[in-house]
Formats: sequence, structure tokens, C-alpha cells
Amino acid sequence: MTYEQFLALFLLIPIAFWIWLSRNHISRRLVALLAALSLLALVYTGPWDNLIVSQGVWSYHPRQIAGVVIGRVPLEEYVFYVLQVTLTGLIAAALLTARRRP
Amino acid sequence: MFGHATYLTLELVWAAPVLIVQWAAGNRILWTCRVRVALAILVPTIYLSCADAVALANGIWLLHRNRILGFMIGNVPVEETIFFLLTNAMVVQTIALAANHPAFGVLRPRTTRAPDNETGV
Repeated sequence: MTYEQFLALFLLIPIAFWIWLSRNHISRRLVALLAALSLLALVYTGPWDNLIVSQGVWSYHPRQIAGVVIGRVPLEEYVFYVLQVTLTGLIAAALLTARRRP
Repeated sequence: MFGHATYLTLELVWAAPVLIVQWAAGNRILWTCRVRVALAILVPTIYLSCADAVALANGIWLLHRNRILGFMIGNVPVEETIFFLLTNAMVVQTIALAANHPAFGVLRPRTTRAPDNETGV
């Protein structure tokens, strides 16, 4: 399994399914918030991830990634931050805005 | 940099400032919806840790033995689960604070009920 296939199977497909299920409950504000959070995640995690790789904590098998590397980190990893924020954000929004049963 | 504690140290030092600021600024809001916040953090953390087990088994992330403590849950180093816990906490607490902050407004599109009614969740 490549990194792209992992992203598709474990992040993209569940996110797409979740969005389809909750399509009437996703406000424009939530979309804007998730977009802002994704940007923040890229800015805050990108440099840290590069530090992690430079300190030899983890590395990537060249056969598992497409080959586009920004700094020391493959493009797929930056996509991962955005997808994780989206998945967790959707779950959080659903849980935090659900009304209690009377 | 820190031998076997490198991953753990770097993730804790990296996430702590954000989490501390969120709790310092929004402790009242976060405490009010603590059960939902905890659930919203734990569910994706467990899910991503399971997905991580598959990714690690496929060699997508190659974690280096001399940079982790060596405590494993299956084939997942405990630092990985802590990473998901910390990152999901940052995301969920931001959503919780935004959802209840008057300046941002509630996220739920079709209700006028005040968020303070949601006590004891």
C-alpha cells in the first residue's frame, strides 16, 4: 500500500462518506473554520515535521511516496494534516453541536 | 537530540503551548462540554491509531527504534497514539471554543438556543 492509497482508504473515503451523511448539517461557518484550521495545521506542523525527520525520528520509503518532497517531508504528509483536521473537525462539530434529547 | 525520548519530547514541547493557551483562555467553555470534547478527541485518536497500524505495517512511516521509547500497542509505538491525542485535542478544542464563542457564533445552522443551555453534557 502506498501513502496515496492509505490517504484515500483511511481518510478521503471516510470523509466523503461523512460529508454525504451529514450534508444538511454542515454550515458555511464550519467549512470556513475547517479551512482556516487546515491552513494553521500546515503552518504549525510543517516545520515541526521537518525537524522530526531531521532528528531521525522517522523517514519515508521512496517506493511508498510519489516523490514530491517539500523540505524533508513528502507532499502526502502535508495532505495528511489537512485530511486529519477535516476528519476530526467534522466529528467534533457533529458531537459538539448535537442537541441533547429532551 | 534526546535519544529514545526524542519523539515524545518533541511532540509534547510542540503541542503544549497551544493546549495551555486554549485551557487558559477557554477553561469555562471547555469544562462545560468536557464529555463531548473528550469523546471527539478519543474517537478519531483510536481510529487513526488503528489506521496507523496499517500504515506502519506497510512501511509508509518508518519509525526509528533509537528515537522512540519502545512501548508499543501492537505494532504502534505509544508516541504515535500520543501524537494523535495531542493533534486531535488541538483541533477539537479549537472547534469547541469557536462553537461557543460569541464573536464567532454557534456552528449549528438552525437553532437559536444559547450554548450555555448545553450544560452537563
